[in-house]
Amino acid sequence: MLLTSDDLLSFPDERSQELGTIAAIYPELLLTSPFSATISLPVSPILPVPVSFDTAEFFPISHFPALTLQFDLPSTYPEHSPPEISLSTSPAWIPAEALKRLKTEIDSLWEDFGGGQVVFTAIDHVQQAAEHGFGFVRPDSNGGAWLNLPAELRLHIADFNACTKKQQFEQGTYECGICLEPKKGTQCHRLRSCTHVFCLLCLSSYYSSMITEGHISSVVCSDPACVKKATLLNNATAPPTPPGTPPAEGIPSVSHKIMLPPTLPPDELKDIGLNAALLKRYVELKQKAALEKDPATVYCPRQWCQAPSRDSIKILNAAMAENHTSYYLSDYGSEAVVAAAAAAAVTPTPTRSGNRTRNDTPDTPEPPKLQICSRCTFAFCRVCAQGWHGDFQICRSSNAEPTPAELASEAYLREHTTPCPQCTSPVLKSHGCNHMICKCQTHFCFLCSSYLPPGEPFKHYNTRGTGCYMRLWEGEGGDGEHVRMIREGRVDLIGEELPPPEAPDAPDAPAPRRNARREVENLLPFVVGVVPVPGIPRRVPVRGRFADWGGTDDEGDTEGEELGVDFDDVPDT
Amino acid sequence: MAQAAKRITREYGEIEANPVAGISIRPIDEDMFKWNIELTGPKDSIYAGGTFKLLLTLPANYPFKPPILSFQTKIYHPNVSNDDKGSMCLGILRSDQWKPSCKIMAVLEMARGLLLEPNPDDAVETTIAEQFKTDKSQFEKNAKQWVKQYAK
Repeated sequence: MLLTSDDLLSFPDERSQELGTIAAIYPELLLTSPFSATISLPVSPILPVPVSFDTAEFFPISHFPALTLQFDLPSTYPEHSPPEISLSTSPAWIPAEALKRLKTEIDSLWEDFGGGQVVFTAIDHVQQAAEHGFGFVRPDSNGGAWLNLPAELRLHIADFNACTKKQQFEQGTYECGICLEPKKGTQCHRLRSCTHVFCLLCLSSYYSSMITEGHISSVVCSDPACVKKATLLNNATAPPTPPGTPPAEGIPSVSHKIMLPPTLPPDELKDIGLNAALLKRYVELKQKAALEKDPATVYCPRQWCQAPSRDSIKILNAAMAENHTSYYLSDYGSEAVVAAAAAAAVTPTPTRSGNRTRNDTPDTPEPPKLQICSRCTFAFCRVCAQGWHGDFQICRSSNAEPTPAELASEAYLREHTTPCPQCTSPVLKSHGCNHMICKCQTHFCFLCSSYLPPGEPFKHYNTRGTGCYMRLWEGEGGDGEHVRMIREGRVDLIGEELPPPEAPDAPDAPAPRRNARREVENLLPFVVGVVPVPGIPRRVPVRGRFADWGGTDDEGDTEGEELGVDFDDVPDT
Repeated sequence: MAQAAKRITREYGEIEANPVAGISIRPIDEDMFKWNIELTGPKDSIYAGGTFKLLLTLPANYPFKPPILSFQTKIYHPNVSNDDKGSMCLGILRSDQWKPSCKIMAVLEMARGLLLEPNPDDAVETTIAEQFKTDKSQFEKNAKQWVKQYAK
């Protein structure tokens, strides 16, 4: 049973009198007997203590679990012996060394006073030491100053800190800058990024109204200081650097294209009390704004749709992930948006949509021509905005002048290729007869592009009046001198000379040819399907000069290599 | 609505308690959503001696939406439209720039500040703004003439 201050004051003993007096000063002092008492003292240093939990990450902690002092006053106290004081915390978070130091300091108080009543002094001493963080934080040999605690304490300490902060906040009264009324802490919200306080009612109705009307840029702190800061920031970032200008030293390379002014993260809006439908709309609007800011975003060409392509959204999400924004953006129409937004990591800095885009790095390849709409799943070509026509189709942008490279490619294709009558892929012949088999398995004539019946493809060349009569082997060496040089690995597809093979008799002699092929693949904006016909199907009667051809080849059925010209497989003729 | 009325009443009380020289306010009716304002031309400005009547209209969802401020007295000024609306071009009164923490008194003070220093780069009356920049003396002459004619 606990005693009261009055109980002890009426007790005829100097020790009880002392404890009774102190209990009147500190009502939280628990009197466990006439001569013993305990008190729990909150440990809330004036400055937050940087704490690491066995990692390199620091958490500023303002509130630690209380320190309990237990006093036992022996009968010889205060004249002849000091009080017995024990210190403890639950859990035991104070490093043993620091606790020992504190204990020594308190124990010496009695002697310093020349023997006398020291309970009050001891409590006061601990309180003051707590305000200064017990001197935990001492610069170490590296000049760093922090308190390291075992990792298993992390949850407990962080939780205690957060709860105490919340309690303190809720006990306070704040004037809301929107309704101008003083409000209890329980009805208020402290904005995480700037710590300004507004009442929940005002914040939720203001943000709801702004999101409903589509003014997402207003979903920010309304405090005049923040407004001023945002204005300065906007003005500072307004002039975009002209293309090609190297970023100024010290300033990170920030693309202004899709950088939006920061607004509140969706999970904070959820805490303010916005409903799921509004949060979903907010995330969608935010994503839309970010995509609209990026000139590289590709939109669905269907007039009634015009949603961004899946690729564009993917790139935006990747850019944001790279910038560690707390913003989660998902595919259009995804029901997971809200849940994911709520689950997104809590970061004090509000959203800043991707600071980097694909355009920051000049080496990044162009986005693929094939784009798929995120909403209607229409597959279309990025360049000509028509329905997807395959990689090999020649197409032009409807709203931009073709580049010299595009024009050269077109001219080359017109000159040297024949379109497949089925899939319209331009096909280049590296060598051999004019019976071609496209990647799409269509048999056709390289000269006139007409279908050839797979069963008897050579009838076309043996029939008078077809225009191709007796022309099966015309252009046997491929389409022009150029093709022969390509085949021999001397030039690439656009005519650039390639380095000669190093040593013809070396075991890895074919290597340069492989490189040549790779280079061709890299250089061409489209892939040219070349269909060599290395062998004639056995069931076709072979006569005359056909019989002179170097026989059939087992590899002869590998029509439609990815690039076509498979240099290694081309039999010498 | 109730929220708006409460805040407006509170702001009215604040202004009444701390009146600002040169600005007087008078709510038109009991619901407080329309105020008559009188600005006196700042002493060192070309509008000195004039008294300008303005109408302040507060939207039903104030302070989420900005108030509307219009001059009822004609004024020769690059930032006030020279028509029967007399609407004033003030950045913070645009709905995308408005912040609910902004108070009526701050708006009125900014309006009075514009009388002291017109902002020709953000003008509604471009011809007046042009004159302000190129022919200041003629501008001042016209402005003073209008004050005499309309604002006395």
